[in-house]
Amino acid sequence: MSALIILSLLGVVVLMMGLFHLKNKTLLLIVPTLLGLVYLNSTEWGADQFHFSKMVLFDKYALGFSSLLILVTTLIFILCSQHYKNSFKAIEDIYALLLFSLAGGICLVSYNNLIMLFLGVEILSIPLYILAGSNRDNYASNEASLKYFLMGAFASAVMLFGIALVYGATNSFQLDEIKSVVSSPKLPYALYTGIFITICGFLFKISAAPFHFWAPDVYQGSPSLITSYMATVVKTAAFAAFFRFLYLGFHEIEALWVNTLIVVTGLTLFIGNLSALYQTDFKRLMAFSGISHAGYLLLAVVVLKNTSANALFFYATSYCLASLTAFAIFLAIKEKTSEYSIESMRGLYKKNPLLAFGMLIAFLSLAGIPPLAGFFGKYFLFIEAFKANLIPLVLIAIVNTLIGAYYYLRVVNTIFSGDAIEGEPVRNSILYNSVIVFAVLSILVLGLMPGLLNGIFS
Amino acid sequence: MISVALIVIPLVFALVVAFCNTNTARILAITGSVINLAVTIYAFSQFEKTTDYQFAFLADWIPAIGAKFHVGMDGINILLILLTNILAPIIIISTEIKHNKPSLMYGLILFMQSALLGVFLSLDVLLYYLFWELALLPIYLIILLWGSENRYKTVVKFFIYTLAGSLLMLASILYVYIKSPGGNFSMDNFYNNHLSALEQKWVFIGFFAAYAIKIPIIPFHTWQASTYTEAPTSGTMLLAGIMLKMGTFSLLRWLLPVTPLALSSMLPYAIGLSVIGILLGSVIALSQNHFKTLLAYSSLAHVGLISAGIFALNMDGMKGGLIQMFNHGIIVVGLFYIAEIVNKRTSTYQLSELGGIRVHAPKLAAFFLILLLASVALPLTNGFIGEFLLLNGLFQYSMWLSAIAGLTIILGAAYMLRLYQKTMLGLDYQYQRIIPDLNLTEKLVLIPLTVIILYIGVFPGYLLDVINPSVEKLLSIIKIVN
Repeated sequence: MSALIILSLLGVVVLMMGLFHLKNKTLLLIVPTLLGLVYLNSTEWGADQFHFSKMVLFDKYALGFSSLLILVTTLIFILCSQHYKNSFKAIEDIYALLLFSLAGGICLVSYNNLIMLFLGVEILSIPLYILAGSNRDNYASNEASLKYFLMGAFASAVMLFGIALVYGATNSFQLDEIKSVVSSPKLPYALYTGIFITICGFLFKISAAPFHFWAPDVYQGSPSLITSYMATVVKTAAFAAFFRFLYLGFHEIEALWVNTLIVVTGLTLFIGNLSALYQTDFKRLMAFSGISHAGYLLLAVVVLKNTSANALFFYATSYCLASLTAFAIFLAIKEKTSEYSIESMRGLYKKNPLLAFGMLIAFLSLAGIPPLAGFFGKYFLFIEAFKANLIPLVLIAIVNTLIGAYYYLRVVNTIFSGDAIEGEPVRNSILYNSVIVFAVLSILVLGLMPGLLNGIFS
Repeated sequence: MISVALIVIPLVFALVVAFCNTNTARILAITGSVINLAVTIYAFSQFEKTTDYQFAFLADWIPAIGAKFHVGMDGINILLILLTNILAPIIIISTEIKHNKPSLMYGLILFMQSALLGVFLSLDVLLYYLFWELALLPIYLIILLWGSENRYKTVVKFFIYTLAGSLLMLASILYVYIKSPGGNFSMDNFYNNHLSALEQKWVFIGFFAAYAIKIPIIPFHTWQASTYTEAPTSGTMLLAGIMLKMGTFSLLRWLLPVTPLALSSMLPYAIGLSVIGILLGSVIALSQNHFKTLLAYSSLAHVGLISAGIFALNMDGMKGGLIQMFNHGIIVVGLFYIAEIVNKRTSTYQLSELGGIRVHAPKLAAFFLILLLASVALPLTNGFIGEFLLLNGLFQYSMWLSAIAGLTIILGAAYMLRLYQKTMLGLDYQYQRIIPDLNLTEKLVLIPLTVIILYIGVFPGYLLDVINPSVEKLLSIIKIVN
């Protein structure tokens, strides 16, 4: 809980630092504080505590996910230090907005009240609308911002409408109270409508089909590090919130919505993977790959058990690490070529073998090849789905894993083939490289010893 | 502990070697693989002819899902471990590439060795699956970085094909894991899985898909010829010599004992496909003009015989299968190396552009002849004992199938002798090439292979004795249910 307060304060302090011409020192404050927050979370581990008149509940689930969000954001901050050094005048604004957005993410993983859910969604999204357009001289960035804002605002409104209907039907915003109401045999129709409309809002936020159309355009237009933030932190937070919404509130009436979600899962997997086959732009590829990963993550939501929360967490962790590595490496190359195409990575192996191997591991992990974290992510999800007798869905997921492997391999082939287009070697600061090394090592360690993270919520 | 050491030693050397310069890397890689060979020979000499898992090591790996790190040797895998560790130094010595950081190639070969040993040694299904997939990674990179011109399409095809099989196998593994009483990945639990015959049938299909692609069995073979042809020769040796044995080995280790109830209904198809593979591989090999492609199809035919013999479910077939896996590995690596030597001297693999090499390089021609005769299963070479037992096993299953499969010997002689004639015999009027004879490195590779071929050809008894108890046990497991 203290994480939430400290984060908000930190955002304000960072803004102030810009005022007092300390902006070069901001990262020195932000990174240690964020790491400290992870430690604080670990001290609260195990004790389920309500706060703010039961608006939020910091259980293991909330603490685990908020630690993940904070950790990934920390890595993105370190990456920022190299990339945004020269491009923005008011860098502290960007940092502050990221911090505020992160605070929203923490609300999203810890809410116990639907009002808090809505607040979290808005606190997470509104800074992002600005961040997406933070590259003001670039048309694409402006377009992305506008698109994201229009679609996002619409989705938030839809979600709010759903929440209102649920409130009308159950007379409460508290998830635990709603849970006791929905277990009664006779339910008002408004509740059904409310649940479905809220789910639609969530599906938009996690970019699941058929609400995924915004993702490729927004990912492509936004500044790349913001894209990586959207692809990792935002997606994880939204998924955690979605899972929590159904698990804490509506577990009893699973039969009502589970079939819809199964269809959505299959659809998301196929649309994400099949569209990714034809992408030539790296960021669009990552967007569609993100959509397909949303499909795998949805498996955990469909199963909806305590164990599948573990699987969700593991998969989200491995996905965040791999995506972040891919984005970090791609950005390092993009600096030199100023191109977004996959082709621009041709011959990376000759230019910088270590980065090439980093990319290899990141992409194979995304593809789910053992012994990398991505494999066990998929493995745990498949096991959960198998146990819940969702065998056709697992088979669909397996077919999609195969399609996914194809386009990830295409990128790997590009990296390892051909001569470098430009002779200039890619050089990064030590901090930048250490982020990549950390992420790659984590992928490997989680792949070899998945027991470290598996089962932490149970 | 020896089992763990066998996996760890190459892995450690692989990591070190990849960061050395080329010459140090070569020496270190050879050292590492020879150390591993020494350990293997020590283990082999201490190996007791029982059904126990020897040199076993058991530790918790992922306690939450009951996966263990369990490795050990028995009669089923001992020969393949020996094969892998004999071939690894030979392949490393034979690798003399100059471009694209050769040190990495040595690292990848050692890495591959480690993964392959993991596959053979694992007694826990999840661990086995992990190594199975892990072995794909280095070979993929080897082909990608050092393959010939058209490798990009081929390598993706190869990867996707094998991954498809692996994922189906994974589905089967997960199904057995969830439904079995033990709820863990141990071998015993998988052998006593209490699934119904129908369930086992589906599990069989999942496993079989993975192995049929890896072996390969018709009609899952279409990745093979192009991959063998496009891969650098070290990669082809790894693929044909060791990696496809992963498939045939897994038939014995997992497929048959895990799904005994499905066998009576599924095996006729499996044997049928294998026998068709024998014929098809031989016939296609007859008309090939590319040295490596011809060897690839001949390999398809030989491996088809191995799988057909194993599927016959009798003592001779299984023992023959195991022995022949070992022998085929030795022979095929030698043959591909000959192709590499010829290519190095003439820059071509096309048979129509070759000929008359024997005049210039009699030693090369002599070694080639020995390998070739072993490949067509001449008595007193190692190929004979394996193919004889296999055909005998298949005969006990069905006389007609055995007769058809027996054609492989005749056809094999036909295409191999044609190969020899086109490359070695005659006179080279057209190109007038001067072809130097074998150098020291090449002798260093070919002499041990030839010695093994002749030794096993004359004294096959010891190997058969070593594997006997384990094969008997395996057969009894399968036969109890059938």
